[in-house]
Amino acid sequence: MNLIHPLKYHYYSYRKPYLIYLVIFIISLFLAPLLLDNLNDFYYYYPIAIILVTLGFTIINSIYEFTILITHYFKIKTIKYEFYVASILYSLINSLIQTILLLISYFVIKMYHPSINSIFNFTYVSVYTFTLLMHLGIYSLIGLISLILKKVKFVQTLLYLVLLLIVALVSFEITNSVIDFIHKLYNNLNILIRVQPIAIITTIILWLGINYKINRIYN
Amino acid sequence: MSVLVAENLNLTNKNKPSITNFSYNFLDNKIYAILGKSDSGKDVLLDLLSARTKPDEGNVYLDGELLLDNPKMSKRLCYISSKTSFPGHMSVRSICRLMSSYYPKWDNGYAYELLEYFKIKPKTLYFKLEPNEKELVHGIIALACRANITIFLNPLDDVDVKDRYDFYNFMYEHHIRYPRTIIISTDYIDELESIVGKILMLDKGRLIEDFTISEIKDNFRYLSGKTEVLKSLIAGVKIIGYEERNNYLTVCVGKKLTKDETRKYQKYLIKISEVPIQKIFIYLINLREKKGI
Repeated sequence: MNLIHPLKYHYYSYRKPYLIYLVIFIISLFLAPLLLDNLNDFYYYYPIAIILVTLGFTIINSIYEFTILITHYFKIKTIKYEFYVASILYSLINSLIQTILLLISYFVIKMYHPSINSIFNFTYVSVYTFTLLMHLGIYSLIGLISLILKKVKFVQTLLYLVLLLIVALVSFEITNSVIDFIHKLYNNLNILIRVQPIAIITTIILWLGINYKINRIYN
Repeated sequence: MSVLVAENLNLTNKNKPSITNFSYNFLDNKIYAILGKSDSGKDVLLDLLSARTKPDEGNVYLDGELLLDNPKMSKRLCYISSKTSFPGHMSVRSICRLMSSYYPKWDNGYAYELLEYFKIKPKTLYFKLEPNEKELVHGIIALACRANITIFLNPLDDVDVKDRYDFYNFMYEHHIRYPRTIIISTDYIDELESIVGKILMLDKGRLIEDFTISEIKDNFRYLSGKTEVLKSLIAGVKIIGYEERNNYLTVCVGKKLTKDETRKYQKYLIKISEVPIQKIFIYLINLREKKGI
């Protein structure tokens, strides 16, 4: 198996968007606390925004990976399992980066408001392992959905998802409930630990599904 | 040295043309052209030859090894089609770097030389390239990769005639310097006449004829002259196609003319000329359709 080819393809495809994302994210990370000077607002919205932005980036990445990048790749190369394994590795790298961003945000919170007991507490390892597994799971889930909706173009898929999210948040007035739910989830370490084996098994099953779909579509 | 062997390829498709019993040995260092109508299955055939599609029956071997899902062999084969594409935010320079890691014999200097010739800036992002520039970039990749087998599917359809002519000249010179097997499927076969070694004609998924260029030049001739004069001279001659315009008849004869026959036609002021390959293909296909094959 030659993983260098698909990994290099991922590297050249993602390096610019990733760099732009990281620069904007880190600048926002340091500037946002200046805008949210009310301590309650800061405590309430800042971590949620970070979780949602990182999650959003993972979702966009996954849609791009399995609707656009895969198509470009198979026009040049034909070995399917090489791309598949490279995708798994890339999703792992992406999840690690998103988790590290969460960790950085913890230090930013501590830098501005040392007294706040953030949900990203550095000493709670399960918060970070959960985040890592959540990104892996979401990446594989969205990837599988993208492959199932292969005929739908990238932008359309994205629009549908955004539309769905807006409808869910606005029409049902559940914005605050969502934020409360995330706070409660991240504060309940027991649930975070218990969910992890389920997340691992689900992710494995989803990746098997992705493998099956790739073989079916690009045969 | 590389030999591509297609062994009894069969593929049945619902929506696309099918391939039936295709067997052929693509020998080392030769340039092959594949001709066919749009429904002839040439796209499907090239997909099969490049192991992009799995055949229902048969196999494709490269240097004796099965090509399908073979990472070692995939480095030796470059496939460029009109559908080839790259992520839009990649620059031409990045694409060249990427390709250099894919193909061990990648010639970066040559790629940049061609980019400069065709006035394509390496820093340009892929999505900013015009359609003709994109096709030229794909063509440049196919030449600079120096893969043992290079397969082109309608490579330069959007490129203007001058750039296409220049590109094929580059291809010829590069092929002389670094001989390798090239398989091209194109509708502009007459532009490739001086480069191509062998022509394969495909119809309804079957290989109907394969000629060398010299065979075509020897075995097909145009006879042109006044309709009433020419008609009286060609009785009993195997005609594969004809065109009549303003009482002036042009017929394509499918045989080698003897010296006596040549003298006879010249005596009646009949013009004898070479037949463009494209026309031969059209006549042969029309004949098959008339016969109901």
